[in-house]
Amino acid sequence: MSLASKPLLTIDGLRVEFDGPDGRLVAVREAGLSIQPGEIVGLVGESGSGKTLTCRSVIRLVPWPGRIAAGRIEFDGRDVVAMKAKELRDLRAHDVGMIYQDPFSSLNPVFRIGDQLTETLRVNLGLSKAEARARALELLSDVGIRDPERRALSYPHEFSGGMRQRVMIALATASQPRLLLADEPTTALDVTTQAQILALLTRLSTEREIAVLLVSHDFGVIAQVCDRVAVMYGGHIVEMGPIGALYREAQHPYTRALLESVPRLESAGRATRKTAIPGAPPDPTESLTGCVFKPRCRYAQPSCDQVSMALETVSPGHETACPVRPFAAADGAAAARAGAQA
Amino acid sequence: MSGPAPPLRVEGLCKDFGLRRTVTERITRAEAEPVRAVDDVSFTLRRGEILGVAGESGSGKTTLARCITRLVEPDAGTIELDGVDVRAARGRELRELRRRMQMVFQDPYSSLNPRMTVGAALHEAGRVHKRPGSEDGEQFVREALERVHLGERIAKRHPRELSGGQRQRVAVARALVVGPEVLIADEAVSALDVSVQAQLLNLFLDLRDELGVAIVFVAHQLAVIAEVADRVAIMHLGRLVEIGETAAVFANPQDEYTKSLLAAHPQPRLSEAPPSA
Repeated sequence: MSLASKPLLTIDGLRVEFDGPDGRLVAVREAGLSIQPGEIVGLVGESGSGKTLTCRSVIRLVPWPGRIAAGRIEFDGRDVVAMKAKELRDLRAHDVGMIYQDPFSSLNPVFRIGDQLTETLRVNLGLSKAEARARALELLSDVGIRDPERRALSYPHEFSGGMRQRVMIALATASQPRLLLADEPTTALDVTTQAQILALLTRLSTEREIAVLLVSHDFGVIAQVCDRVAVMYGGHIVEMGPIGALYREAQHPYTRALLESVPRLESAGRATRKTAIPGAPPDPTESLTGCVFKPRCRYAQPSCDQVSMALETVSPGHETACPVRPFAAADGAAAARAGAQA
Repeated sequence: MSGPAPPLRVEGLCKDFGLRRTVTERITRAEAEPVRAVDDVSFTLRRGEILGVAGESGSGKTTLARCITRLVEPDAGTIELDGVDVRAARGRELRELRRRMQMVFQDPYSSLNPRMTVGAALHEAGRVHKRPGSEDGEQFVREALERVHLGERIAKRHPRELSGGQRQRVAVARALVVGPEVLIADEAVSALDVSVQAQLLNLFLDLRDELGVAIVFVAHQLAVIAEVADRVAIMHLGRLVEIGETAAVFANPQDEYTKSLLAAHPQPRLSEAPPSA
């Protein structure tokens, strides 16, 4: 992945609104990110941060009465927001695959697994019955389902959660998409199954050069598979960068607080109080001025009311929406020390 | 922390769930093989201790939690609360035992009555068990909310008006108003966001330190258990495969299954080396 290559997906200034009886609700305020071909990008945030809607916006799957109110979404140079129904159908069928948290409700319970895969292949790729059948078995074995001939005859309820998610991945990657949207794909699974599914996603991404947008609330999951990560809060992307930089030198106070909240195995035997983030996330019905995190921020300053939430570059590829940079001095000193030692 | 008898002692606890017989079994008059959800589980909970119970879905950890309070009737084994036989208790005696060991469930929304205000729900629990101070409803509720760091304004609200974290605090407060010695938390923080989860975990630590309640803390996330538990018990297919000090078990697991669980825990895969300290 070179930085010079053209991004596969660009989201810029995305705004998603819901008009309801109680007025307007802004779920995504201004989100922007880009994904290079073959890259795995994480989108992390807590419930209500707008991460799922940002992900769904990529193929215009925002549930009614929500709508994309502003912003630009470009997939491989094509404007997704302006697409007509036929183009959009084409995009969803060939270029972008999607997997959801709950694999059971995304599979049809009354059709056999094999038939569901075959149907997708025949409709999307125009394969003959026999070709589709053969390809379906190939796909099933590729996602790690043993004895695919027999398993293709099973119904979804006969599969375990992990196996169903494998089938979903097979379905979503059936037509060789270049981008896979994965919305909390392992949240409903046990840790051992989760590890297998994450390994499968990573392998497919490398082997077939599929870019992945992995949405999750779990920093552990994101950190395990992603190259880059975007942190979302209150409808904004507040920080974005390579996973290593974000983990060690997070510049946004929210990212730091979130990382500190993550439970760790290393805490075993040293049960101590966590520094929890005070207060609650912003209400999507409020109109906010300045930084969305200000009411809960330890480092808030009067000037935070004028913050535009635009991302500023910290180092190549690492951007933050916090202009205060309360950690810059400490990190700078640490870097200087490290430099002096070297 | 030292006491005469452990508050909770479980020995040889078993629970089978019968399955419906298949056609063949019905024709041949064979008995269906039951599923052993909890298989010969023994442990003691020490005074003021937080004992984590970990395992994957289907490992029997929830059934174990429910058996202890006899929400599910165990098939064999002994459960003793402060030396009193829980399995033999009936009627009033059982009710008193259940007061002394309270449960907190995963989904606080379905465990709170949607038509009752928070205050009414808390007060009712106190009144049913004739708790001291429950005559003065307002004062009683205020103190109950204070214990879980909630303001008294919450008392007038209904569960749907609360956030997930607030609801779970209310569920904890309701368990606490009856003055339990043992709290059984079944996946009590699993449905919450990490930042809210951190607040709740702090609360459990506070409760243990301030009120001295012993807690059985059931969770599927090992890292969550690492944050609060003094000891951890690992369950697999109904059996308790390993139990010990949390730090010792996580640093040096003895059982193969524990090892595989720990290995599957998502760890950051950071390409660059961490900054030199």
